[in-house]
Amino acid sequence: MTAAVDDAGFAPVAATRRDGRTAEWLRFLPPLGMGLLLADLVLLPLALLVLSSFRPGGFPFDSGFTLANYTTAFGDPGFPALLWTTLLFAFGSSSVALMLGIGLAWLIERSDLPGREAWRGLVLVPMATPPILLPIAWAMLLSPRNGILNQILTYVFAFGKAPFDIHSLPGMVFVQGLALVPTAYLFLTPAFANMDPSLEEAAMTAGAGTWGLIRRVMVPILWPAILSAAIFLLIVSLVVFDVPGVLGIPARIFVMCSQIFYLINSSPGGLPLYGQVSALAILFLGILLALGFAYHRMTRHAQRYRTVTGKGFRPRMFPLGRSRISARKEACGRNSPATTDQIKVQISPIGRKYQPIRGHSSAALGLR
Amino acid sequence: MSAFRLALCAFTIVVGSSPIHAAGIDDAMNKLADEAAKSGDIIWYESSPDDQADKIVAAFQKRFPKLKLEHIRDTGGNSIGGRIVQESQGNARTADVVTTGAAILLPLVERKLIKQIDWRGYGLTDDLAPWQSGVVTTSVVYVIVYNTSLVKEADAPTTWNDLLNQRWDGKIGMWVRGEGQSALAAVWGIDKVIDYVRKMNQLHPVLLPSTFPLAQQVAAGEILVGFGLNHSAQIPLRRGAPLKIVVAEPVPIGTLYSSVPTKAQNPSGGTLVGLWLATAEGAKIYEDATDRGNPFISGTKTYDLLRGHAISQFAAGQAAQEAATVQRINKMIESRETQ
Repeated sequence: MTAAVDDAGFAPVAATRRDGRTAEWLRFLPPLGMGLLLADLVLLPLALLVLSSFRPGGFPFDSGFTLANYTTAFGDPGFPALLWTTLLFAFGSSSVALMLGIGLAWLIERSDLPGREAWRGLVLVPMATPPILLPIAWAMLLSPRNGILNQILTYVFAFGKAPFDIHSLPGMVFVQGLALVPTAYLFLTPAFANMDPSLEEAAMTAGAGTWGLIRRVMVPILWPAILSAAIFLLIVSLVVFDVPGVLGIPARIFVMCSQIFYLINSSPGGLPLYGQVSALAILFLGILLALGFAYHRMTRHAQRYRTVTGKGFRPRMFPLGRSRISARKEACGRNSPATTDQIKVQISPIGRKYQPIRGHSSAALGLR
Repeated sequence: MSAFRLALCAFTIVVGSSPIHAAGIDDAMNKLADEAAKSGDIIWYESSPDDQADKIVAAFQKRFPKLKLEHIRDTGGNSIGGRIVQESQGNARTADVVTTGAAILLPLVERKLIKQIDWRGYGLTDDLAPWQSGVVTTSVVYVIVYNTSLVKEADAPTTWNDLLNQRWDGKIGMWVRGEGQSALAAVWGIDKVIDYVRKMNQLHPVLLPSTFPLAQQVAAGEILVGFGLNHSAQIPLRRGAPLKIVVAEPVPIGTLYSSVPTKAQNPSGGTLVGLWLATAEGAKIYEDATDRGNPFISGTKTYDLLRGHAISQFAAGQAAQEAATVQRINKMIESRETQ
């Protein structure tokens, strides 16, 4: 071996170079493998989608190219209404989920609500149930014809007709909002749980009232979490099908997803209208990519909002006082579609009874 | 009579006896069975629930013990057609026989994905084999359904026009798809059907995703009357629900054909299934399992139900007009067009 090396002269250097090149190539293998996997999982279906949108028959292996699918899909007189309904549904349900999620996260993580551990688990229970059950359950409760709750209310208050119609856009927004509450809660909980109480104390010491504390301390700290949760919820609201399918389709209220389902399954032409579906999906994809990019930017800059402290802390628990009963009702109602509490979530009394720091309010400190 | 109506070429018949040459068909089926046995199992795309289809499959395999029939349920309607196109384009295994409506078959025929078979050459009548693209397997029959507890017999609707009575305002139900109303166009003409649907929309009908919940809701009294289907009303009827079926004239029917895809791996097996379902034996078994019978084969309940009634359906070759009519009527129902 030694002789061979000596004879060759450059052999050891060449071998080292070869080893180096091999090692360099090996370094590229994992990203290459990952790239191929992603291409197979994402790019290939995407390419077929784009291709289908330009095929006259809508099938990717049909012959010819056309823009007719785009002109038909976007030129339909009902398209602006479809887009508007989709946006209303997505923004509405995200807002409902966000408001309830913020309320629940605050109650469970920052207040002295009794049985917090139990509530924590209960809020997440809907995630363990098939999503389609929620709209079905609400249809049983609030269907205008045979909803149990509607029938009771109609009987008790002698209404001429059912007071609620779950097969409506507000009904869909409401149910989808409820369905997204666990997601919103999961997004917001860490932000609430990790708020450094020293900032709140400092604000209170500096004379901040409740509103000032919320506006100038809590909201800025929570803002990245709220915004990223909002974008994520918006993305989910745009792609979900359970609620639009169960509650919207029977009332002929279509959002983008259910319209795509209709074009595939029920269009009277005999074949799925994949061409139009693909054209709609491209628009849909654009919106989702924009939201995904916004979400990425939000989460990428989240570290800017980190609280830097030199010591461990526990978030301060705000006493609810007599409002604990109302708060429990809210937490209860979230998990029981069979109760009307879900409809009238009571947060306001808690706000009124809001006492930021037990025994250390700014008034007690003589700051105002 | 409008030009469109002429184009529709109303296909109205009074159902009569249509004897099948049993011996000839038996020979043909035995020959097909021998050929099919060499090509492996037979795949059948159809929409019946598995428990119903299992009975048909069991009877078929009892009749042809050397063969294995596999039923694949596809309820999506359009998705059956889409699936055959994709599988054929990708050279994947597709159905050996598919049972579906003319509106779904036509695009497949236009793409040359359906085998043209001389079904009459096997001894089938013109009624059963109206075109080479398929053989009649069953027909869905549109009827009026009403709740007998809440609607007195004297007030019960007996004609299609009776359904337009103001007393049914908000209490009438119909399938969100207008296939039944569209089938009426074969006799009434499209203009009359459009007028009819507009008047029906003025009654604020409850739209349902299928005729099964329609029958159930009429039975439960949620709605009083409905433009429904005979076979979907049979389940609540068997359970003793207060429901009655009225066969109003002309009786709109929608026919389902069995066809053999061009890319079928076992075309003989597919042809055999289609042929067997068009015999008295196969049709009875199919009807007993699914409540959907063949109006052109004597001895079926559907034949008896329609005997002496004028029926209204698009002919097999009019699938394009049928699809256009269905599309128009569907849009009217969806948008609740009243003017």
